[in-house]
Amino acid sequence: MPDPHEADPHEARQRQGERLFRMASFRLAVLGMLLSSLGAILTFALIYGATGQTVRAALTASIRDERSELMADMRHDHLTLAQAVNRAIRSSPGTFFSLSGADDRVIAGNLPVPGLSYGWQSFSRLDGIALPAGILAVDGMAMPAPGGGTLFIGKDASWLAALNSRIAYVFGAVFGAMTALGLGASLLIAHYSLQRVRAISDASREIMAGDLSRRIKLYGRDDELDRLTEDLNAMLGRIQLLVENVRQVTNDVAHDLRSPLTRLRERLELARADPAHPAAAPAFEAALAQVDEIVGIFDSLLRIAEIEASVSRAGFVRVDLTALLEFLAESYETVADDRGQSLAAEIEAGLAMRGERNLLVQMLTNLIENAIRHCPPGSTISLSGRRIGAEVEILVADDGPGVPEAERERVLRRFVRLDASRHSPGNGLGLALVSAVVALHEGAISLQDNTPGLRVHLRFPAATDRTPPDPS
Amino acid sequence: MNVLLVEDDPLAVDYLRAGLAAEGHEVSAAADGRQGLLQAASNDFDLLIVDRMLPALDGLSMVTALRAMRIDTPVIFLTARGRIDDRVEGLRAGGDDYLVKPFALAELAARAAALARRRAVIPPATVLKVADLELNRLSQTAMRAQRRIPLKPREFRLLEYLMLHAGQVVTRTMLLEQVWDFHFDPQTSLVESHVSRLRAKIDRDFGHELIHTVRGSGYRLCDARPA
Repeated sequence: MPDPHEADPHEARQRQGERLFRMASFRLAVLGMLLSSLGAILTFALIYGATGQTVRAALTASIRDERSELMADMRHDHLTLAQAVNRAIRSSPGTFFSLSGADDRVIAGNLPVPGLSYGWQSFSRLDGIALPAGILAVDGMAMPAPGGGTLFIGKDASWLAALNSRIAYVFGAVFGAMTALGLGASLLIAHYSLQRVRAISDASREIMAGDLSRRIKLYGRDDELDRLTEDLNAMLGRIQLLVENVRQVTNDVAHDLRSPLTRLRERLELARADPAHPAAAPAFEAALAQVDEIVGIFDSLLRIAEIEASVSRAGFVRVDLTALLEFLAESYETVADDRGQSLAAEIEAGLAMRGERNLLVQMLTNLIENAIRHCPPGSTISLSGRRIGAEVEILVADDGPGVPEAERERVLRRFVRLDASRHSPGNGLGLALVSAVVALHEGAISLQDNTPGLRVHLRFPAATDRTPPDPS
Repeated sequence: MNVLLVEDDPLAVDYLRAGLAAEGHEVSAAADGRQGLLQAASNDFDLLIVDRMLPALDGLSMVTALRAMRIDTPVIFLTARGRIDDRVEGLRAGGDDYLVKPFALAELAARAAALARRRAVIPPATVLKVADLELNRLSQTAMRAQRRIPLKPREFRLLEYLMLHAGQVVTRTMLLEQVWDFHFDPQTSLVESHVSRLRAKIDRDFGHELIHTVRGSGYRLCDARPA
């Protein structure tokens, strides 16, 4: 039978994708990649800055020379600055000038740029300045002109721009490749460890579903995951051994103790029927009742051990809880009525869960009978069932004496009975069986104060709509 | 009734033989599964009582083999193992009933009688009748002395089972298994409460009682006035 909890493949794939991104190894890998990218960006910035600085230093020297020459020309040949500039334009190709007066109007120059502030300037076509053909960029310095105004002297910096763009290009390529490789590697790492973690969790789930001999596959890499797997496998081996031991002991005890009890009962019954001693019959009757009580306790213990050792949910079917609860309410209404109590049921339609019907019946019966047995006449016992989200909630409540808070955990254990109820019938195994059944069905049980009385609160995973119905 | 007892424990054989003989049954015994199979196949028994753990051939395989030979003599399995799976296994192998040791002789006797009769019985009728009590299984109604008696679902099932086994002793455990599908011993008077409710409805206002308590065993529904 296919596992009804298995989602359809599309959903599973989507879930797997989500899981991949949520994985610790993926996050770590991405974090590492981000850090190394940050380093790369820093390196790029440093190289870029250092190149710029070196070039600027070289240019500054040659611009100073140009300026000195202008000054010398002015002094020697009694030229105005504008005339000196015009001469320099002719004599030094690859050098650019812009002279503007105090009113910021350009007086002379082959690269007229008005309104410059003093200091280092870089121009490229990107700045909207009309550079001569073949010139990509001009770097230079704007300085105060002697006699007012601004003088800019610049040099062809095309090679620098080319260098910068080359650096940026190379960096971009390297950075892109690095990021892509890093992301790819992160995904691969995540996928790989997801696969190995999945191998572990798949095996665990199969083991919980009942296959105790299942082991986790080793990858043979002798890495930390393989070592973890080895440890887990060793632990699983031990668990299997323990469970088998418990089963073995339970079976042995069941057989070895049952045989003498059976003999005892047979002899008592034959003796009771012996016509030679009719007066002894009541004594044999009482002895038989005692044997039956021992057998009852023994059966309950075995039953609990059997349920606790049972890990197999293979026999689970869809159980119609609404019908089951209504059936129990109807059956026990009469019993409660005979004791002067009333049983009220409030059961939602359409409740269903997966489980073993016989065990669920016994679990609910124990709870209802507990309430009936421990409550005085006039009490009200209520049985309710409803669906809350993906769970089914069952409440068995009464307004009787209740269980003190300190005892609520304890009464779920074997042979634990409240002192007050020591003298009432019962062997203290009813609730232990209930909690074993709850655990087998992956449910939760809690005992609460019903102010006054006891309220037993049970929760189970609701059967999904895809679960096939109980064939019986 | 002709009963074959397949049981390897001589003490248990003595006990069961004594108990069954007291009920007026003829008892033959076989000490292992192979002998049991041979005897069951070559004689006409009314009932086989088979222990599950037997030498040579275990009880389950023995009954499976018998059923494969189209021998449908009713079988009651006896076992020391009371696990739920075991019971289901036994019924699936072709057993008709299943008793976990230790049990009271009265329990075995009642079940033996119920099985033996079932074999002889004509297909179950739609309308069951005992004296002036009538139960219509289709319309799920009950009448006594032409008077309609309202029954709750569980009371109906209880009365139906008692009427199907009219004249026989029906034990509390049989009722729990057949009417409630309970395979454990409840700690309250579930059966007693329902029987007394049923009595109040079908017996109280009428001339003579039909549901009788059989001390130490269970109940019997019959027309016969106590002798």
